[in-house]
Amino acid sequence: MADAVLQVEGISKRYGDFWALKDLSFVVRAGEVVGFLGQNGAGKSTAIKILCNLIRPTEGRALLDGEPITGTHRAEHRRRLGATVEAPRFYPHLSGRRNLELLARISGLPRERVSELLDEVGLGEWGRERFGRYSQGMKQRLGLAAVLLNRPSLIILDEPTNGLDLMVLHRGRLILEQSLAQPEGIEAIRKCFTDLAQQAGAA
Amino acid sequence: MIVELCRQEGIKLLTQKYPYLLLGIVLAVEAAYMMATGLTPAKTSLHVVTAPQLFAEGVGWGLRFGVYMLLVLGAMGFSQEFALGTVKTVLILPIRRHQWVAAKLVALIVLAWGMLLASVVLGIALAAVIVGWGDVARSGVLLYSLGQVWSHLLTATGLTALFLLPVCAFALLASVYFNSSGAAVGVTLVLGIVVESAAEMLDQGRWVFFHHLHVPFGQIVKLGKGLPFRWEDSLTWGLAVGAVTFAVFAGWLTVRLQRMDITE
Repeated sequence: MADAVLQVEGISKRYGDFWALKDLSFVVRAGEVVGFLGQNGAGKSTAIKILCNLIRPTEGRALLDGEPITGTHRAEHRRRLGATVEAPRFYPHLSGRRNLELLARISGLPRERVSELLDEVGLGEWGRERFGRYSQGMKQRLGLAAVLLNRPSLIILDEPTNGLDLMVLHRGRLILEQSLAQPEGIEAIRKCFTDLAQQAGAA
Repeated sequence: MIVELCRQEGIKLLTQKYPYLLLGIVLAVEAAYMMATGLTPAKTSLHVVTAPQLFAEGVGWGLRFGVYMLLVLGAMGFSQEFALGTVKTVLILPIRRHQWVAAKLVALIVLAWGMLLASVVLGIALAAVIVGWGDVARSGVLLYSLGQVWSHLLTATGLTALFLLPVCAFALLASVYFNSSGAAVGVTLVLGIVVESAAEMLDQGRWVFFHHLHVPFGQIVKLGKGLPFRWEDSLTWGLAVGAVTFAVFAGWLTVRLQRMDITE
């Protein structure tokens, strides 16, 4: 599939006798926003962990930009894929800005983008505050900024709206829409019920 | 980049866990103080008990607690990240797992060395003030010059620093096997006690600091009795065992974290 950014082919994960995920297949193309829904225990988190290369599938494979995720060097994989988890954690003794600058340095990216991203997620004036003092919503926003720092080809947002107020949710949607409009294209897999109806099909 | 990661891990460790390090230092110095205050004037005037011996037996003994404090700190290294879920945040960032291991290990080692240095400096100061600092003599016969005392103390401190390497690596290794920091700390402490007791029972482990510190005095007595020098008390043996055990634990830790599923 030429324009497939993510191609998941029959992935399964077994822990002992228990199958946490069985035979999942789907494709995400450039510019698509995909909602990832399922009942509790359906294996959503397991699938996301496989895509984030945190766990290895028992069966099947997932391709990111045509290359197997498990075969790709982990650091290279994370440059192409941005992900947020339920409760983003950074160094609590550093400010939000310093955390992003450290991340930029680790990723070999210019630090200039940090200010721009802090403004985009509405943390411009809180950038110098220590991360340990951030509210849950501010932590989520910094997590989103960290994801966008790399300009990844795929973004996975796991429970991205936890702790966010309505204004921030609206801003978050705008940021994603702007990102989708960029030439390189960003795809998002979301596990969020409330935003799904508005987001799916927006691209 | 790795230097910056080590620095930040070190600051995080220091700001969140400094009470453990302080406790390690305080216990080492307290042990030396208790020994010093337990000395009789007759003993000190005859130089039967001297400042170097005070240092060896007091600080060396007290540093055992420091080692257990390090085991606690190390055991929480990764297990606490698993328990809090921070491990996911770190490992979805473009940070390589072996870099993270190196950053945590280096940070713990630097803090361990800081604790050792503080204990040694405070121990020497305390010994100098309470007992005095000079040649080691017995009944007017010079057994050890002050220069030799310093030389030996530096060697012993160096060996202690080396011994702390496998201790730190071992504690961090244990921490990747548990999702609960309480379980990791408990198991690590029990293993530490078992290893120490076994070493005592088998009369091994004399190359580590709290034994090596006694060696010159012990050897003097042994030589006086015509007993041979034990090769397992030698500096070469201490260096070899320290380096090999550190390499094994650090390598095992890196491979384990590289291969493990992050299921939390």
